[in-house]
Order: sequence, then C-alpha cells, then structure tokens
Amino acid sequence: MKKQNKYIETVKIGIQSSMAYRMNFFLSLLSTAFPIFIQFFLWRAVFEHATSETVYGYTFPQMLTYAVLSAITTKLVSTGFEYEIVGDIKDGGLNKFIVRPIGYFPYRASCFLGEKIMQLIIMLVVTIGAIMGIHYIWGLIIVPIRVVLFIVTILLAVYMNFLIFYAISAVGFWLTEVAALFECARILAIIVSGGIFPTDIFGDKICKILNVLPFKYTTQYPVDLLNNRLSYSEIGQGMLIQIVWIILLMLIAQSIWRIGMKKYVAVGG
Amino acid sequence: MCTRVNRRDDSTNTVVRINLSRCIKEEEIGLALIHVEGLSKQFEYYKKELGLRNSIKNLYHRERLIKDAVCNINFDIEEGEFVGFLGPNGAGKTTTLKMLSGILYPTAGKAEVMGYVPWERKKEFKKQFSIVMGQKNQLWWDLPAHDSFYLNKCIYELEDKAYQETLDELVDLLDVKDLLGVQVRRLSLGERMKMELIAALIHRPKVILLDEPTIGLDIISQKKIREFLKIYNKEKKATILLTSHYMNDIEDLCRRVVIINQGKLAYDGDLSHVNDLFSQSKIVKLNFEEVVAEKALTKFGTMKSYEGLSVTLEMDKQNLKEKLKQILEVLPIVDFTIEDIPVEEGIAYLYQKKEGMPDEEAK
Repeated sequence: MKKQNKYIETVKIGIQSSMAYRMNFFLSLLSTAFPIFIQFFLWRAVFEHATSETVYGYTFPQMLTYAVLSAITTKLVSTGFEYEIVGDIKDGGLNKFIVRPIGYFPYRASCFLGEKIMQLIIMLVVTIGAIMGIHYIWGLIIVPIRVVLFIVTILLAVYMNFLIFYAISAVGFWLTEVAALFECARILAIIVSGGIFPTDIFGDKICKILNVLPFKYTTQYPVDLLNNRLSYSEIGQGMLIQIVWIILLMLIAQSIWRIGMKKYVAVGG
Repeated sequence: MCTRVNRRDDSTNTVVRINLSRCIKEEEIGLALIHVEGLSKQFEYYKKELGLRNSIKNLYHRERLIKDAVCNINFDIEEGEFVGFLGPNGAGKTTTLKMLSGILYPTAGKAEVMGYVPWERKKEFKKQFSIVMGQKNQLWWDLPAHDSFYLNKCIYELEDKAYQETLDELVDLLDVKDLLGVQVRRLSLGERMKMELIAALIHRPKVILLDEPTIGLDIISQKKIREFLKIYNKEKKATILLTSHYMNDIEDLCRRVVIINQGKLAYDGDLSHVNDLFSQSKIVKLNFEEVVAEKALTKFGTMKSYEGLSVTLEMDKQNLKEKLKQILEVLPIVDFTIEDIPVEEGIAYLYQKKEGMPDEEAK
C-alpha cells in the first residue's frame, strides 16, 4: 500500500505538469489538423488519376477515414519524454534516482501515465467526434464493440510506444547530441507504424516484415480495427502480438538500460 | 582478511562486490560511521589536440588517457562529526562524494557508510543518508516546493506525523513558510537552496553529504544556511561531510578538515593545525613610535607589509624569542602582536602543492 503510494503520487505530478503546459497541448492538437488537409489533396489527386475505384484496397472515403484516424492515433500514442531522459543522463539528473529509494523506470512510467491521462481523455472525445463526423460524411459504419476494443488496443499501444521510446532514449548514455537521431527515429516510427498512410502501400514483402515488428501495432492496427478492416480473429491476433511485444520490449529496454547504467556509474553523472 | 582487487573492467565487478561484502562482515565491529580505505577512481578520456587536422585524425585514431581522479584515499569519520572536505577545483572532492553516495563505482578500494557499501545501493542505506549538490537541483522545477517535499515523503515512505513534524521544524528553522506554495522555478537561488536542504533532510538522514551548498549565495543566505547546518548537526547528531570554497563555511562549521589535492590526501586533522604541518613561521605585527628604516627590519624576518609606523613581518618560529628580544631592545616599539599564519594561507599552500603529501605524513 505504502509502496505504491510514491508512484501514485508521481502520476499526480504528471497530471499537474501536463496541466501546466495545456496551451502547448492544444496547439499541438491543432497542428495535427494540417497534415490531414495535405493528405486530402494528395489522395484526391491520386484517386482522380487512378484506373480503378480502389488504391491499395482502399476507396477514397476509406483512405480519408484512415488519414484522419491515423493522425489522431499517432497523437494519442506519441511520447515526448525522450529529451527529458537524455537531459537526466547528461546533466546528472539520474543521480537523484540512484540515491533515493525510487526506480527510474517506474518513475518515468507513472509520470508518463499522469501526463497522458488528460490527453487520452481529450483525444478519445476528439476521436469519437471524428468517427461520428466520418460516419455522416463518408459513411463509416460504427460498431460499438469495436470502439471498446479500439480503446483497449490504444492503451496497449500507448504502453508499447512508451517502451520503444524509453529504450531509444538510452542512446543518451552513449551520445551527447541526440536531436537529429530522435527526429529520425520519430519520423521513421510514424511511417512504419502507418501513421501517415497505410503500410499496405509498401508492398507485400515489406508488409510481411512490418507485420512482425511492433510499430504497426501502435497505429495502423487500432485504426484498421475501428475502420472495420479487420476480422475479429485478426483483432485477437493483433492484441496477442501487442502483448508479446510489450513483454519483449520490457526485456529489451531493461537490458539496454542496465548496460547504460553500468556505463553511467563508471563515468559519473 | 580480504584482499584488495584492482579492477579494470566491468566484468569483474561482481567479484569485487562479493569480496567487499565479506569484508564488512569480518570488520563490522568497531568501524567508524564513514570508513574509507584505499578508495581510488580512474576515468578514461580521449586526448584531442588543437585544430582541424587533429579533429580529422581523431576520427580514426584516438589516444586514450587515464586520469586518476581519486587516488588511494583513507579516512574515518565518527558519528556526529562535521567535517570539511577541501581541495582545489578538480581535486576529486565531488568524485569522492559520488562514490560515498553510491552514484559511482570506485576503481579500487572500499568504503562503508553506516556499515553499508554505498554502491550496493541498498534501500535501507538510501533511507538513512542524503546528498545535496549545490549545482544540481533535486526538486521538481514546475511544481511548488511543497509538492516535491510530499513526493519525497512518499519516496522515503515516511509516516504522516513524522513528516509533518520534520517539515514544520525545517521550514521554521530556514524561515521559508511563505514560499512553500511557489513554483520552484520562480524562487531565488538562495530560497531554492533552502528548499533543496529541506527536501534532502525530510527523512532525517544520519549521514549528509553536502557538495557546495552555499555556492553562488549572498553573504546573508550563506550565513543562514550555515547556522541551520550547525543547529541540525548538533541537535540531530547527524554526521556531515561538507565541501565548500568559502572559508567562512569551513571555519564556522568544521573543527576537522580533510584536504585532498590532485586526488590524493593532503591533510586530515584539526583545522587549526593545518599550518603546523609545514609552516615554520609566525606573523609578527609591530607598531613603532617613529619610522624605522626597512633595512633595519629585514634581518629579523621576511617583510609582509611596510607602512611607516606599522610593519608586518613573517618570522621563523625557531629562535623567535631571541629575535623579539632584540627587536624590543633596539627598536622604538609601542605595541606588538604575534599571530599564526591565517589558515586560508595554509590551505592555499596545500592546494598549490604539485604533489599531495605521502599518506604517513598526512596522518
């Protein structure tokens, strides 16, 4: 009981700091709208010159639905603590965790959870608004059970993405200038997770690879679920893959951090 | 007895740690609260010479160098002691404190704090000590200090009552009641340092390592923090190891000082005896009735200042009496005083020395 207390308190601190920067959050929300416009014009041009009704198996309304939902999902699962972690590694901020009876990973996780809670609530409202709108404009069929499953997979996806970027942040142990690397990693992760367009356009071979990597399950999978493109057995399979990847990523992140910490305590903060 | 292992790479790490923990069991009885023996830390770094050509050369060939940040240091600190830990910049003070707090692994040697090996990072150990680094903040920047304290309460798993009592007491001592609700980033440097101290002491640690707690503070804030530390040390019987570049801090708080230079122990003992180690002279101030020629004085000692009627001389301790007698007989003396060389000068002398003194001498 007492022991959990410190992490609950950290969650609260996360909520508080996300409130402190709410303006930033709303502006970033607004910024997700712009790529959707670009996508609209891009896909309109593509579909006008297309020889068939569908492109990569998507009709024009389906493609636009995908663009809107994937933009929202990308925002939902995005992290933003990478620079903070690298700062902690570089400036010795980790010291305060080493000398206190609190773990860095659970601290980061609960802080992230706290920061995410408000975002998640707001974004889920936005998502529901969006699918209602899409339902009226492009005729998306809303299946309530899928909406519930969507929320579940989103929570798993958020945790997956947390683990991916927590592991990537460990490069701070070896490199001092990481901005370019993080930017690359972020964009690459968005592309291969289907955050801009469905990964189907990469072709079968690459798709097969992406199917076993974790990225797709942070964005495209929840979107396809909501978009009625997955059967229930495929949904179950996807969720299983999410869980397996969460376990794997936890192990990977932990071992990278263990190596990094060894280096850290050898040279000092 | 255990043998010391000189470790060069991380893979043998565990072996050393097992040895060390066996050491504790054997020697647990009769140990000082902080026990440091043969503690050493080496850092690897790469050499780069000036210029573009060398930058390119560095891409494919880097010369690896080893720096002895801390080299075979020994000292013991008893419970309740307030010890000044001094040395010039880069002497290895912070490195030593980091090893004592478990942030760094040593390259060789051992250390025990309250019977724990710091770098094993046992929870019981963490709950009983604290480290404050004046140049690094441990508070949550965006939140009021009060929230940080509360989080610390949860981290250290303190009882509500004990937490509230300690907090009230510390807040009272440092006089920061009105500032508890202010976002930390809006506090002044001095106010923030006081908050850092509260955050570091909220769990009533038995051992406190203070690394430049007064750095950058004005004289009044320095004084307040000093007074606070003095009271805390006395009332709580806390053991404190303090580094500071302000002599006032040290003279006011520490009877004993440990001085290191270039990673080696240069002095360990009473602050007032720093000069005995090397200084063979005393400062003699003379006041005359009428002006005395400079020449007439230099045969007695080295001239430190000459202002007509008042003169300061540095004189040899040996046959000081004889020489003073002569001065009194020959010169028109009104008044004179004999003083020790100021302790700052003694410490500065130890700082400037290229090589630290051998251990035996320092003891």
